[in-house]
Amino acid sequence: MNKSKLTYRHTQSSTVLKVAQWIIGIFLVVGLSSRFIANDLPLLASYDESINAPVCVELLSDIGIMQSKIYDESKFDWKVMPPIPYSSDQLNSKINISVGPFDHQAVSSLRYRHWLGTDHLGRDVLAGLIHGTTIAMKVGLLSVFFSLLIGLYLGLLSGYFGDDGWKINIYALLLGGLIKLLGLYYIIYPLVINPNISYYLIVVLIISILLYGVLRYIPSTIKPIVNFPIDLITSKIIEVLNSIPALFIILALLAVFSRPSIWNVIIIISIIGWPKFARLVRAEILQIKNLEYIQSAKSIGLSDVQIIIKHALPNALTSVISITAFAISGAILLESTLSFLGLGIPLEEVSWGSMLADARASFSSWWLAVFPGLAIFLVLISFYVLGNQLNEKLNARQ
Amino acid sequence: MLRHIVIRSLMIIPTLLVVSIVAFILSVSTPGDIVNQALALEGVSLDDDRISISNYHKQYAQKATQLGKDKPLFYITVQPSHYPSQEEWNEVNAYNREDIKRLLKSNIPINISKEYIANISEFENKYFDVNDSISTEFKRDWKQSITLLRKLENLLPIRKQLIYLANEYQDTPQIDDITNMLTHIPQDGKRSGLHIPSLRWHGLDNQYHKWITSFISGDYGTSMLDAQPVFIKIWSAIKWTSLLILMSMILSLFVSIPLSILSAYYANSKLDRWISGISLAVFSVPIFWMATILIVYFTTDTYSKWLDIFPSPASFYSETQTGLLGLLGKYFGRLILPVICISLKDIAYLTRVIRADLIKESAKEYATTLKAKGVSKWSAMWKHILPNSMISTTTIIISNIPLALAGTLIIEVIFNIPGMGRLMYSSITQADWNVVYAILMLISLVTVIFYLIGDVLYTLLNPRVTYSGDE
Repeated sequence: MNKSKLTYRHTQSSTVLKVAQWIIGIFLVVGLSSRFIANDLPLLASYDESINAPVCVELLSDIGIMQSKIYDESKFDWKVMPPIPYSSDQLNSKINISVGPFDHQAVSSLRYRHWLGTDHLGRDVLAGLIHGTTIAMKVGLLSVFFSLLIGLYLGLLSGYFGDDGWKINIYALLLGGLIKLLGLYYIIYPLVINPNISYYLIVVLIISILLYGVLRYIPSTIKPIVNFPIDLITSKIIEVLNSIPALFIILALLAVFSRPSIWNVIIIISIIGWPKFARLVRAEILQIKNLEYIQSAKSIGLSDVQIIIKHALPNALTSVISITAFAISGAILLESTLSFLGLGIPLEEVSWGSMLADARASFSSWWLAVFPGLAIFLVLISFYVLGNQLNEKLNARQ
Repeated sequence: MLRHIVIRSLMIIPTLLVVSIVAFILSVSTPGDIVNQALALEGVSLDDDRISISNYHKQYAQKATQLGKDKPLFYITVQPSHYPSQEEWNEVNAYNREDIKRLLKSNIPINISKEYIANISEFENKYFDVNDSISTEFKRDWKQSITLLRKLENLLPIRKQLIYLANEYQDTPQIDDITNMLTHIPQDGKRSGLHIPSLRWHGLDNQYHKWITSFISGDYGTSMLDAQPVFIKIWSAIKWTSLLILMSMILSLFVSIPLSILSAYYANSKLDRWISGISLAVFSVPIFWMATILIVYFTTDTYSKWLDIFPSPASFYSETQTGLLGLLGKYFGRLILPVICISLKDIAYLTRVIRADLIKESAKEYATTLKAKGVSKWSAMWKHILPNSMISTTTIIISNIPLALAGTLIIEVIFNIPGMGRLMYSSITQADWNVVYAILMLISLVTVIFYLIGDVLYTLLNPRVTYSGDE
C-alpha cells in the first residue's frame, strides 16, 4: 500500500508559506517602526531656524532620555511628514468624522487623505492599525519569550531529573527553601507594603551565599541525601493552571491590577502560557535522556548542568520552535480579545481589539469592522501556516 | 480500573484547594474596600450628611465583624515583626485599622500611628456629633481636611490645609485643636523596627477558612451590587451557558463528522486540500471579529433590507423559570447567530482533528484486512474506522468543553446573553468580587470534572489502556 498517500501531510505549497513569511515580516517591521510610519509630528523639520527631528525627540522622551518638547505648528518653515501624517490618538480632523475610505473627505491634498477612513472621533483608522501592530507584536513576542524562558527552565529540569534524579542534601534543601522564602518575602514585601527596604534582599543574598559556601565543606558522610521531586512539583503547578480556563483566570488576574498597562497583559499571558513549552521540552528530554550520547557524556564526567546546557537544550529548542509560532498567534489573539473587551490595555491606547469594539457602536462604519479584523486574521493565519510548516519539517527530520 | 478512577478523582481535591487559595488571594488583593461597598449598598456612606462620623465608625465595625473582614487572612500570616498582633488589632476600631496600616506602611511606628489616628477620631466626634454650635463652614472645611489627615499620603498639602484653617478660624475656640493637630503630624521616613518577617499562627478563626467552609457548604455569599445571593445569580447564568454549549456542540458534530469523513476518504485530493485550507482559515478568524461582522451585516438594515435577517443582539432576555427547553423554544431565533459563531471555530478544529484520527486509523492493519476481505472503502470508513476513531474523538470533545467556555464568554458579552461569561465580565467591570471568585471556583471545578470524565471515558472505551495500579 502506498503509505505516503495515507499519512497526514498538510501540504502547503511554498508560495503560501512565502506569503505568510512576508506578512509576518511586514507586520514586524511596521510594529517596530510604527512611530516613523504614522505620526502627526514631522520626521524632519526646520523649527526656530534650526533643523529638528520631532519624531526622534518624541521617541527619546518616551524612553526617558530626553525631555519632551511641544512644537508650535506655525513655526515650522518646512517639514517632512511620515508616510501617514496622523497619529493613532489624534483627534485632528473634526470635519472628517466617521468618513469611509471611498467617501468624499475634506482634506487639503491627497497626501492627507484618510486611506482607510476615520472613526467616530475622527481618528485615522490606518494610523490606529499601525499603532495596534506595535501593541500586538509587543505582547505576542515578549509574552512568548517570557513563557518560553519559564517553560524551558522547568521543562529541562523536570525532564532531565524526573522525580528521583535530583539529589540534594537535606541541609541545602532546607536552607535553600528558607532562603528562597525569605528572598520572596523581601521581593513581595516592598512591592505590597513598603517600598524602602529592598536592601534587605541584598542582605539575604549575601547570607545565602555564605551559607552555601559553608555547606560545601560539610563532609559528605554526614549529609543525608534526598530526592527533590521537581517533576511532580512542575506537573502539579501545570495541573492547577490548566484547571481554570485561560480567559477566566486572565480576567481574574487583571482585576487585581488597579492601573491598566500593556505590561500587565504581557506578564499575565506569559504566566498562563509557559505550561505548553514545559510539557513539550520535558517530553523531548525524556526521549533523549537515555540515548547513548547523553550516557557517554555522563560517563566521561560532565556535570548535569553541562549536559543540560550543551546537549539537552539545543534539542529542546528545535522541538519548541514550531509551537512558538502557535503561541505567538495565541498571545496576539488573547491581547486583541482583551482589548476588545476593554480590559488590560489602557482605554486610550488604540489597538486592533479596541477598534473592533468601536465598530460595534457604529454599524454604518463598515471599515472599522473590516480592517482591524483583517489585520488580526492575517497575522494569526500567517503564524499558523509558519507553525504548521516548521512542525512538518521537524517531523520529517525525525 | 475502579481504583484508577477513585485515585484520579481524589487527586482533584488538592488541585481545587490550590485553586481556591489562588482565588482567595486574588479576591483579597483587589482594589477597593469591601466593607465600604457593603455599607454603601445599605445606604450608609460617609458622604451622607445625616450620618454622623462616630455612627459610621460603629456601623463600619459591625459590618466588618459581620463579613469577617476583621479576622486574619489565612491560617498563618507573614508580617514584619513590629506589626501589631491580632489581639492588639482587636482593640482598635475596624475603621481606624486600615488607616493605621497605611501609616505603618510609611514607616511610622505603631504607637505613634495609633495615637495619631485616635486623636483624629476624637476630633471627628467632637465636631460632628455633639456640638451643634459649630458653624457649618467649619464642619465642611474640617471634613475635607480629615480625609487628607487620615490618609497622610502627602504631607505638604496637609500642612497647607491646616495652616489655611488656622488662619481662617483664628478667633474661634477650634483654633487650639487645629494648631494641636499641626504639631502632631507624624514625621515620615523614620524606620521603625527590623523588617524581619514573623510567622503568626491564627488557628481556624480566619477569613480563608470561613470562605472555603461556606463555599463547600454551598453558601457563596451575596452579590455586592444588588445583595442577591450569588448562587441564584450563577444558577440562572449556567442555564444559558450550558444551552449555548450544548447547541453549538450538536451543530459542530453534525457538520464536522461528515466533513472530516469526506476529507479523509478523498485524502490528499483537491477536495481534501480545500477543506483543510478553509478550516485553517476559519480557525484563525478571531471569534469576536466574526461576531462583530455578523452583527454589523445581518442584524440591521444599514446595508440592505434583505440582510436584516436576525434579531438585534441588544434585545432583552427576560428571566424565565422554564427549563432549558423552554428557553430554547422562546429564544431560538436569537440564539442562532451566537451558536453559529461558537461552533464555526469548533467545526474547523474538530474537522482537522477527526480527519487526522481517521487517517491514522485507516493506516492500521485491520483496515488493510478489511480491504483484502473485499469490504468497500466507503463502508469500511463508516462501519469500522469511524467507530474506532471515535474513542479519541470523544475524549477530545469532552476535554474541549472547558475550552469552549472561553469562547462563550466573548459571545455572551457581544450578544448580551446573560450566561456565566457575561456575568463574570460584568461582575469584574462592576467590582462585584464575590461573584467573580465564586465563578472562578465553579469553572475550575467543572473543568477538572470534565477532564476526569474524558480520562475515564478514554480508559473505558479503550480497554488496551492499563494503568500501573491495576495489576
